[in-house]
Amino acid sequence: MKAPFDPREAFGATKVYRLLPFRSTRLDDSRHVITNDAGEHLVLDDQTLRALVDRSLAPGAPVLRDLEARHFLFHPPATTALDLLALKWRTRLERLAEFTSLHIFVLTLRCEHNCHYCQVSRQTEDRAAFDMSREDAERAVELVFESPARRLKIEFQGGEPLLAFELLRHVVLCAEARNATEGRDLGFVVATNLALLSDEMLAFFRAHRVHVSTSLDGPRDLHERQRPRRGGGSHALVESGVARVRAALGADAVSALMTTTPAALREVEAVIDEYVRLGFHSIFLRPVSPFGFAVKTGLARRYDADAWLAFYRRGLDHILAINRGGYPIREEMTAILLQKMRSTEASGYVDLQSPAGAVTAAVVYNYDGRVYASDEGRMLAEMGNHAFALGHVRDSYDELFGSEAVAEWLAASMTEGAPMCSDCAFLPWCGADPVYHVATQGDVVGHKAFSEFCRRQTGMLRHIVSLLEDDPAARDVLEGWA
Amino acid sequence: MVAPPPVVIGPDGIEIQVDLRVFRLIAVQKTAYRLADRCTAAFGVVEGDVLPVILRLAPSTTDDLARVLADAFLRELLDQELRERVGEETAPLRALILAHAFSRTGLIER
Repeated sequence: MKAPFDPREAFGATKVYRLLPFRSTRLDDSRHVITNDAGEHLVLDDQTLRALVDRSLAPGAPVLRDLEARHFLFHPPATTALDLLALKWRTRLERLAEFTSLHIFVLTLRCEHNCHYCQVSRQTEDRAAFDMSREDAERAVELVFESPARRLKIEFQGGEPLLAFELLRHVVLCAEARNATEGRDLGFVVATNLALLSDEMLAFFRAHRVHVSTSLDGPRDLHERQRPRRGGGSHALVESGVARVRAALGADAVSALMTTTPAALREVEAVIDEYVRLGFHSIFLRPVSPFGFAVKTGLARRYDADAWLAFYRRGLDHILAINRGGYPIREEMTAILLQKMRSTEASGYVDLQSPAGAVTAAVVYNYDGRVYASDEGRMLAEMGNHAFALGHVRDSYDELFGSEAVAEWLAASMTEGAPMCSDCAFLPWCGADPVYHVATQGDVVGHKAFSEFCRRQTGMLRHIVSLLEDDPAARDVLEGWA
Repeated sequence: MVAPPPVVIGPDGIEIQVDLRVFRLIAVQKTAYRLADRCTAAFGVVEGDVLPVILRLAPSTTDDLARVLADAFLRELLDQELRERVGEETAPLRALILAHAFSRTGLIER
């Protein structure tokens, strides 16, 4: 007859642990970062990592508690760790069921600026050739609502979308009318240089809660060198436009983006100081995309990942010092990575997803009615490569989003199966950029040993982990960004 | 303690004798892939348990740089071998956790 209870020892933790799945990558000459599939991490020195795997860690060593708490090992027969890891893993991937939430409308390619690094804009008055038609815009709104996502964001881009303000207004009103029955969490963003901002536009943005995103490349000299316009005054227009948006819509209703050119590389502190002077509490240090005019002009090749990383580290140092001085400002890319490191919540950042965020998180409706998997996919098409063209707004939702071609490159974009990525400790915090790798290597996956994207992302992550480990003052600030 | 594989820096590049009783072939292959931006690895025919690997270098590579690269290869090889050990040991658990994570999502019925 079986005893009513298992023996006492069956309920106690065994001294012999079992490893849970983890990946390891060198942080520096003597330390490794280890991560699990939920994105939890620890930093271990060489000796400790090997002792962990060899089961030769001293019994009672404090690191054992850390390893167990962050799900790198467990003591059978307890299986709570497996349940928790499964739950966290599922939570991180929940966004996939939502599918496309960001819908970018390129209302026009026309622009009155002539920025050196711009991928797509046209200096022309020809509305018929370079503006989206009302019919195509209305069809695109229908496609937006065919997405299963509860949260829908429509972002207006260009060219300069305020040159097509009547169309912008039409799209907002169409989407709101449709949403009266749909009941989604619907939001709007307009990416504008603010030069054409009128009081009528501001009133419309206020009434329909349209967030404003603008471009600010730094102090006046630098900004106007990079973003020239006929008649000049680009920087003054941004400065006054930002003030007007804040007065009309609220302090948080406007954000700004910069583009890192070789000139900006030398002036990162001045760029950041300008953001502070204009009252921004956020800055996004980002490199030039290897697309469009940036390639034609050679700009994309004028600095490599190492130069960009030096710029990033200097900039982040400066931002941390400003925070310690009492002015809160965060670097957005760092904040996104910290959020991925600290939270099991799915990240909404399109450019660092696996499978790729193109299509699964964002899609672009171009001025001519063509639909692209991402903004970069449309820029690649401007260079003659249509690998990421999905079709036309006249096509059905299933034809656009459910094609074999889309499924194929999405599957290929999964970092979990990509050489070098699959055993990289940074995998849970990183993502795939298939458009970048098609543009630079002609291949969706790309060879990561030659990838500037990989070098940049892993370089940033190494720097952030090192700061969290070695610099308590920096850690205090960074913890507040996660 | 495992002795590092013998290394010879010669005119054809860096020659490394990898003992496959110590290192898995997949670990050697992944190491070569990871260093592909710095050298090209050519694998010879296995004799006994030894796999000869030649790292071909650019003609301008100095002896000092070649030694740095040889050290990088050996260090990466150790790291890759450890990754493979962990991966092999935990693969069934990873599959179990993944199955558990998606067991109630209805994906199987689709």
